[in-house]
Amino acid sequence: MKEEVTYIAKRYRKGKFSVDKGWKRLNIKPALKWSGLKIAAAVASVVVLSATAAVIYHQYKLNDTIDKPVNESVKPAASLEAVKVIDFENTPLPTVISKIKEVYGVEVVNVPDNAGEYNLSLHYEGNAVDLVATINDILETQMSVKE
Amino acid sequence: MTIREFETYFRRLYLPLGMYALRIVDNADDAEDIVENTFMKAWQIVSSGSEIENFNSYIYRCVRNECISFLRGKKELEDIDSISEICEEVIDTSFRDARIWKAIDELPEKCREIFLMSKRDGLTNAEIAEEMNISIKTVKNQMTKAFARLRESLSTGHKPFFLPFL
Repeated sequence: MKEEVTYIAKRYRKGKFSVDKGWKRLNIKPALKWSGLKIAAAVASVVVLSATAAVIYHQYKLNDTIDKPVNESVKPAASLEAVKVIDFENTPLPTVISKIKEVYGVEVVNVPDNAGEYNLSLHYEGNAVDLVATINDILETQMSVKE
Repeated sequence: MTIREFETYFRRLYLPLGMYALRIVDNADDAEDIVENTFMKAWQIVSSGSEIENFNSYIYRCVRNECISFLRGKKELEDIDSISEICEEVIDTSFRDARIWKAIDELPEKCREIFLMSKRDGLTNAEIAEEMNISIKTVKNQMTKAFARLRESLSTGHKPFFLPFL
């Protein structure tokens, strides 16, 4: 045992061979040939996480606002940054996009031709930019938001 | 193979394969890069729809080949026969090394620091005590604790399940 322990100890480096970090570095994403249902489930789970992050971000922004001088005017949020709540249940992506346009008052551009192949179930609280970015991450699309 | 199945293989084999590569290239950075590149190539194959029969032995063979290419590239490969073929003993050693690495990783910070000063840097107990401003008795206690943890982790290890399929 002594020899092998010494061998490993001499080469040991903290943080090396971390399985979690290694897996992240591979950056493997699901292929687009996944069924719509699987994509819906994946989007839903990521969006829930993202929504939580958006809430924290929103609260952080509120706290940040409190720290600002009283005489600094609070500008109305631009529609791109407006935080809204949006819900979908097994909804086709084109309908999701229409709803984003309606709720946030923004345009979603560069929508993929095969958008109709995807259904989404999600509860989201956050801004339109983050929502579309989250969907892009999962579907590997290049959609963007315009005011 | 689904992405989840691939991830399961990755999580099970990443560290043992890293230790296997480490024994060949003798550098943790290089070994880690080799293992990650190998998994990336394997994913490209399986995600294209190709089947890999006995993924476990396949990935070990790939890491071996990557190590050989790496050493050739650095002109450090003197004799290819010096790199053992994949066999039960080689895989056993990689899993055992992985348990040692993990056990060191999981030592309490101070205990790990003292252990590495002794085993990696070759300092005596007195030198460690002086360096860390602690008593020699504390150094001895921490070393005893570290070895107890290592022994425990090695005694609880299981043989890799895929050996019969090699």
